[in-house]
Amino acid sequence: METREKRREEAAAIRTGTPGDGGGGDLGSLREAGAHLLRAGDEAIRKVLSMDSEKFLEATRQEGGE
Amino acid sequence: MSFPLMGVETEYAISGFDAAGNAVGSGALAEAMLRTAFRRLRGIPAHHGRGLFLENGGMFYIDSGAHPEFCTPECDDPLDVVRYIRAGERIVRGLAQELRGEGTSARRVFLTKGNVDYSGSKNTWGCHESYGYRCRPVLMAEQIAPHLVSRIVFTGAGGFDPHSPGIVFSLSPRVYFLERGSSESGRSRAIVHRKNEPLSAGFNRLHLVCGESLSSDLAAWLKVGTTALVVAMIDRGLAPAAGAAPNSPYRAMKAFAKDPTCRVSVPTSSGRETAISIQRRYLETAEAHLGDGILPPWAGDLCVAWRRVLNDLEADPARLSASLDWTIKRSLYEHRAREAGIDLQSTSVWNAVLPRLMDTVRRSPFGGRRVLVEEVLAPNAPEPVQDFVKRTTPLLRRNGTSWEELRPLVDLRKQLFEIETRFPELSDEGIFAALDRAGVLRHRVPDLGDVDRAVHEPPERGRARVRGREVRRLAGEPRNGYLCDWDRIADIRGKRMLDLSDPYAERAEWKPVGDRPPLRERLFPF
Repeated sequence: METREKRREEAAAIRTGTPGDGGGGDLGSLREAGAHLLRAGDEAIRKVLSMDSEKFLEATRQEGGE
Repeated sequence: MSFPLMGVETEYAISGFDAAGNAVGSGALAEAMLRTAFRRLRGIPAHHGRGLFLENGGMFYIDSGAHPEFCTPECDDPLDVVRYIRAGERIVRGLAQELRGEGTSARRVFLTKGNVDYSGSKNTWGCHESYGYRCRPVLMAEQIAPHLVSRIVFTGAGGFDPHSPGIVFSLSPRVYFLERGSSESGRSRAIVHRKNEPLSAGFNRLHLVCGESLSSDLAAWLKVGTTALVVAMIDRGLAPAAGAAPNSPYRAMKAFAKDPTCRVSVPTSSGRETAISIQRRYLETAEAHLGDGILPPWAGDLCVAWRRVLNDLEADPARLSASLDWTIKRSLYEHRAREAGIDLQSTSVWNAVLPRLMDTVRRSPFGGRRVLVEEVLAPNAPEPVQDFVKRTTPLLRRNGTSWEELRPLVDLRKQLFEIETRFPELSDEGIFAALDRAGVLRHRVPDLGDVDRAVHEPPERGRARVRGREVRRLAGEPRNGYLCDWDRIADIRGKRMLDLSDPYAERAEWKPVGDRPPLRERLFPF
């Protein structure tokens, strides 16, 4: 029972990335993680962003669904 | 005790480009995808002819507006639902990759799962959820509404108001397309509608159209899991949000969607509540009943994650900036705007001015044609437009901006809309996919299971298992001999039917249906 509860807590912590009860990790590590995410985002966007966003949006225009 | 089943239908958006880079129509691509599905996937045709029931128990078909759609099989665990959503993405992506051989001119196919079109069409498509329950539909609709309007703090896909000429970030852009709080009919996009199409015997079906497709596994799991728990609690008479119901669910949802701090409160029958405080009422009711046998076995794990996410949102949503769809996007978009010299949190004055400017332009000799920023600001612009610009200049100045910033703002808006459209793209180039590969996200759910297996295998329990196994067995037979729906498979030539109206059916028991008037019409009286 204790092992299962511990595993559940660890799994939940991994899911939310928070090691404690809403503690959210220390500020420094959060900022560093945030900076990594933004750098990766810049790179991902740079690779795909078109030269003409308006043209892209028009070309991928969708009809309404349900 | 058997707990009610649940499932999700995901509509996708498909478009294509030929060798010259010109757009190829979605309709042609969707039809080609359907032909590919019939040729490549192991399945039995759906009774309506627009898709296939598959060996994993789910269904692929082409929905209105040329949107390919995958419906998960019915599951009794929200983690299973998320696994089958991801399996569906692999199926649909695989079909899209084969479109070149299906008589289209497309050389590049763009497949994405966002729910809003940002080209100016103001169109939307859905991600629908279904949950089985037994109590009265009116009771369910009334008691689940507070959950649906507040859950967007973790289920929101993030994005923009497509109707605004400015840049208005929203936790849940789908909210802009909802027409009302509740409806009797399934035809309108309401937060909850009371029309009941069970598709099974002995259970009602709560069919929700207010949700959105999600890239984050954590967000998807919480969306389905919390909603299934709330349905279960209401079904057992627990009245989990008594006193917390917003006076106007529709207005409340719109208010919550506009607030990335998650702190706005709305009037309720007992005072005021925030989205998080409403969610906490549901959570606390669930936690109080863990272990007494009335909630499913997965409820404990779900409640732990639910509490953690609410705690983090309440402390600072930025703590989840790598975990939920809307928080990831907000980080990216604010950064993008800062790089362009624009503070997204300060665009409110533009969001107020631009609709009035556009109205002035429409009423002027410019008329309804598209005009460039440079034309609006030119010294020879029509007099009403010049007047408007002059009268509004002090307002802009007081808010730290000027007309010189309009062109960068307009350009940024277009770019953000393109980035938003590309974010959930189902390809290695999709922005979410790239972030995930880079290891900078924290969205995964460790117990999700084998997605590749879920492409071919049905769930372990329930009628979907029977359906999937029969589909696999019969898929090699001449296809026009069998037709399938959620609650039956018909053998038209053999004049027999497999009744799957019991959602917990465990065996395939085929029964003859005799020679009464046309068999197909009797089996599928639609």
